Amino acid sequence: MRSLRFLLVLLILAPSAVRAEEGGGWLDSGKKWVQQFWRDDSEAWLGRINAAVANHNYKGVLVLVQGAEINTLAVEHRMDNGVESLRMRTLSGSPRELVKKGGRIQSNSLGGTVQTFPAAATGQITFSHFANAAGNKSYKVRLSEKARVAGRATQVVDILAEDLWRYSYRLWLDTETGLPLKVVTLDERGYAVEQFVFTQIDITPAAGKAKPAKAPQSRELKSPFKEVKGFRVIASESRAGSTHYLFSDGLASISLYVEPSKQKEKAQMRRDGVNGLMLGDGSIRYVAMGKVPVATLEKILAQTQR
Amino acid sequence: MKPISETDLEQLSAYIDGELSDSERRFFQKRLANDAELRAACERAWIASSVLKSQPMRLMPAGSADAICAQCQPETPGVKAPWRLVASFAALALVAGLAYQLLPSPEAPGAGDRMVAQQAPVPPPAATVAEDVPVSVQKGTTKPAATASVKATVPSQQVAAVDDPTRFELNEATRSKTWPKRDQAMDDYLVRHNQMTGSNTGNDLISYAQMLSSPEADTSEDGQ
Repeated sequence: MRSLRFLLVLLILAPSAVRAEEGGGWLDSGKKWVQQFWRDDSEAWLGRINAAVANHNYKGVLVLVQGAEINTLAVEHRMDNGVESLRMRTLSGSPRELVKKGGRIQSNSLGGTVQTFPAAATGQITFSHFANAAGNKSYKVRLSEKARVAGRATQVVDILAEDLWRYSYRLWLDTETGLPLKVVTLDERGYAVEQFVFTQIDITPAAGKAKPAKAPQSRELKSPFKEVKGFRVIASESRAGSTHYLFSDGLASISLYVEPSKQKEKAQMRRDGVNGLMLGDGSIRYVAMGKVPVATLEKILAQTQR
Repeated sequence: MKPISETDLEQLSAYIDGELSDSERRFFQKRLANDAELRAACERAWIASSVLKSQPMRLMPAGSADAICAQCQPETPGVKAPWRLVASFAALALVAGLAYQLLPSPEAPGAGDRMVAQQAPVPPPAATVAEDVPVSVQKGTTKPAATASVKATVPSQQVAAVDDPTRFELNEATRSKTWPKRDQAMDDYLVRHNQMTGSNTGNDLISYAQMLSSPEADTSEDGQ
């Protein structure tokens, strides 16, 4: 009877032993086996976003809440052989439309002017900046609870700022596809700055084979801020004496405008979740704005002036 | 140790009292996990709350009210009253004498004038004053005298801060200030910000929605 038990235990342990030999040691194998029960799949969930956008068409109604303002928009997104096209139309307020196809964006105020400007670099699609949050040192990604949005099951993923210089984000990702159905931006105190949520959405597989989304090309110039860490200059342009620098930490963007001005002035403003600070010292006007806490803009302006 | 902000104290108090909503509580707990000072403040408040709650309730002695009333009985006028009267007169005379010595004469320039000179406000830009004046005043619904009084009551320090960029102070009042609706320059900055963000980062639907809701600016290619 004893020998039978011994044989049974041996049979159970033998396959594990073989796998451990292949993988490199009993201890490592055991650790991996134990760790899989506590594994945090939050980064894997973020990794699904690009594929979800690239491989699906969707059409729905989007509600955008920013402070006291609520806007409703109709959204239609299509992917044709890896090329993203997007059409958005306001359902509340003045009738306006935005069309994005390939590398161009056209904004059309119905009965008004048409503006055209370049879209994001090739390979970058909507929400790809959230996908790139995985591995960003300025943020910590955590898996949260399960919820339901627009009648679909979702997984909540928190992208938490590591410091108080930037905002945090909560994403509700569609369990089936990984598409973000709701995004809430939270300020440094944990209050919602803006929320967008699909109240209605139809998701269908996209035609053609999607190209794998490329990681954004980092055109980092330098890291100018000592205290506000993580932000890099990613673009700059000069227009009519006004120089515009764009800083990004991978998720949040800050614009800094430097231009000559003889006025001494200051102003602090907020619109659509975007904070802005303007400061004129009598020779130069500095304007900083972005979806970041006011303290961040204040610090950036103070360092820019030195 | 940094002093904890008033807002954080409010949140901390609400957290301890269990008055935060689920999401607020969750995020406050995450902040606690990352902020050692806030955590320490929370622990102190928690201990204080627990200690206070654990104190046994003691009833006051039955005769305490009568005893207190007895102590509060007005004193009957006695022998010391004349001395008190003399002391009061002496104190009054001392104060009057000191005041006479310290107050400057109207003709001679004194410290008071120097203070006025230091605090004399540099005339602020017209736009700044207009911002500080309530909308009703701008529209002319208030009498001119009221407008003048509003301008006169602008604190001199505040005006000085406007002219001195190094004293750029933020406070709650300015934080809640909304973006000027008709400031075309500011609108242009916002539109340029959204467009450059859209051109250089993987944009999201929120930014596109903002482009739709943003006011038009002359940033089209023709206009560049």
